[in-house]
Amino acid sequence: MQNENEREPGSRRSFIKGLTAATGALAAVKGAAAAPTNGPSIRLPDAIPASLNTPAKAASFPMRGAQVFARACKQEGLAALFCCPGNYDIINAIADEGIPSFGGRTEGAMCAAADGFIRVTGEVAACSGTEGPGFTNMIMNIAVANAARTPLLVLASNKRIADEDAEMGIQTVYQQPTTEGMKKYGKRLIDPKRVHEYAAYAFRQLKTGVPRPVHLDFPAEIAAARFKDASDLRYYYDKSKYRTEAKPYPDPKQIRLLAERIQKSERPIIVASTGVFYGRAWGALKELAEKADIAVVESGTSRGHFSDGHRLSASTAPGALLSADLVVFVGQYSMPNVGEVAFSPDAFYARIDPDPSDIGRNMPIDLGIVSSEQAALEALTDAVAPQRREAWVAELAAARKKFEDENAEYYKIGMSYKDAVHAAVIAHELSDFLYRGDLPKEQTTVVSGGYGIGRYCRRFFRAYRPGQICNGAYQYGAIGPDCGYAFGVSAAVQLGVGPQAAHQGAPIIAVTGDAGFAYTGMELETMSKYKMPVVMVVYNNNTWGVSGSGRSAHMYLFQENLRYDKVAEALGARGEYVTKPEDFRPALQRSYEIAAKERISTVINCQSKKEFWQQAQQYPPGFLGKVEPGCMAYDH
Amino acid sequence: MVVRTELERYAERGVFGSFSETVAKSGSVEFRFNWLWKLPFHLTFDSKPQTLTFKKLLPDVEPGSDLDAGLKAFLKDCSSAERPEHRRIDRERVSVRFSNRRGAVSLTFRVTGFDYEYAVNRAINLVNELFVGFLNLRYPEYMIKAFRLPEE
Repeated sequence: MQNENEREPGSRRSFIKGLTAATGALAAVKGAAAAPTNGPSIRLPDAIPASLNTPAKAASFPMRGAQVFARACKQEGLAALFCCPGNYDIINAIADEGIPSFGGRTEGAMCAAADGFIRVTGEVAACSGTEGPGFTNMIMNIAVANAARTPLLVLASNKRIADEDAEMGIQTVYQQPTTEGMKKYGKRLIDPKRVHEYAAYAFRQLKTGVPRPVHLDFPAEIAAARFKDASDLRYYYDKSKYRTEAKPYPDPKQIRLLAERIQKSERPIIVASTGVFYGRAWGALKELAEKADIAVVESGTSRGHFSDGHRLSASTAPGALLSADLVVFVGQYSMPNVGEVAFSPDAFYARIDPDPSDIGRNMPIDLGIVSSEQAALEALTDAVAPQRREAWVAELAAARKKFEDENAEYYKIGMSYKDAVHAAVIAHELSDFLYRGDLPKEQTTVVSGGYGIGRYCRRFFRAYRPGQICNGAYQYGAIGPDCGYAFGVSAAVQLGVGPQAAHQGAPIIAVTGDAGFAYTGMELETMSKYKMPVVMVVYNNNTWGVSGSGRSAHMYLFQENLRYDKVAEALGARGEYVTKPEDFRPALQRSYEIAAKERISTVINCQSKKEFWQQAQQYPPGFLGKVEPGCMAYDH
Repeated sequence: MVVRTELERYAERGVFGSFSETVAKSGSVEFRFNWLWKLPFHLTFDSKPQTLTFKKLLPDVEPGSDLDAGLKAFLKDCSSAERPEHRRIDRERVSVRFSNRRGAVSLTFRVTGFDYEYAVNRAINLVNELFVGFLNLRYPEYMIKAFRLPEE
């Protein structure tokens, strides 16, 4: 039987079919949502669907350097490319190979789109920008991807080798040092004959060990070089010759020690993080947890590799974390420090990680196991005896109920504020719509972004299958990429890649704040151009998430009641403006239905006010804190 | 001394990032260690009254404020029968006293009997929960201001 993860990604043809069919709908909705008073209407030029309908054509010798590289990307299964024009030879060659390719409005947002795509699929994707300004526009989101341990392939053009140091023309800068400290591997290619070799370097790094971005720069001579046949290249091997699929296996002695600890423990917990997702180890995790009644709490850049609906889930049971007497971090690549996770100082700490050089960093460990996540979890499942821990399971259930009761109380308070939309109302209504309404609760993939709004929504969003939640702000703490993530996540769902296959074509929900929207909001145009069904909720509280006073106050504030919904309409999407709490749910319902039926994105501009954060005594519960790991996790 | 042995155990396991002690003329012993968020903590052991004290554990807590009340309620809850037994403080064995002097909050654990192992364990766990499970969740802005934790 075919495993879900082994399914072919959704076909390019079905994706394009949806795009073409939806083209007509665009004009209809435009008329309703943004009737122009003068000038021509927004329209999708015929050239876009025509371009997307152009058949892919795999390159063969004779090839140019760009084609050799694109061919290697295709053979490695590069799942998508997100870019802006520039680095022309490379992006054109990648598109020609049939790799799903998307062109957006800023390189930075497209870099975030690739990151979001990867976080919910587990597959490698690429972003690309033109040399100099296009490349440097990506920097913030390369740094984000690095902190998130995302296997992101960053591509950029980089002047001509012949013009080294000459400042000839424009956009000249030596780019590799710019990503120092933000990548796993980087190289400015200088020998055209080694272009395939460096594709191998890139994918060897992207597909083994702990992932992080790989950055390749392509001077013009590399992309444009011509090769009559393989003998013109210094290195042209199949991927089976330049990297291995083998994974590190755990030391049986260490596994026995941990199994004994699990046996003795009364309240064991596994922290299932990024490595469990990228290692596709969720099946092994579930088997181990169920065999020995081990609680599981999630952390990391995406959620759902252990269902929130499971009786052993502690992701929505923050009150129980401090009770754990054994904590096993599995694939926690971005490691918290003591104090950043809510565990007892008396707990026994174990860590399973493929990289021995990271074990013991930040958090002291009592036992370290070097292994792939999957192999270690399988070995542990074999080593532990079946066990039941009814008292621990009951404590988890009680903690989950307490948490839900607290959320319900927040919602009740939020609904009592009638002059603006409180974050608790948005969070609760989204949760109710997604998990307790007509939709299958595991269907909708969510981008959980924003700062203050994020503190609320994360308490209410639930994940029931891998890749269901893309955690927006993570360790690097950037609030701006959310619309970029939304585009990438939507592309993943439309294409049905990896764990999104079962929900191919479904709309997605994304949440951001007014501060975050400013950075990547132009990508509503990209969503409209590609007919991505995204419901983008913007929490508009007229301010950054922090406040100043006296002579500095103005620097923290925006003009009030800005119309981000109108921005969306002006970019070819829909807009909804919600100013009262009871109006949010109907707006959500309308937006979702139009997204599902007509593949049109909507911005729901939720008018809130800064006083909800700044005057917490008057407007409880105010800005919320968090406990990590689990559904509230923000930093790690 | 049991108190030292128990605290050293945390230091040896790496829970405390560093550990040292000084003995005052009065005979009380001050233990210093870096712990949560690498912040410095001071725990004073006085054998005559059998007390362990985190002096000036929390700064800038206005008496009578919401935070002041919240802290008192949190401490009261630590002995509640509604808590799981492994998280509860047995008042028969150790009592907890809260004091707020001009905004500086200290916590004193008075040992009834001689179960210092239990007292140290409960004191460390209570302060751990106070910081990572209570203040971090309920009063994030206080934590940012008082301890200069990262805000952004």
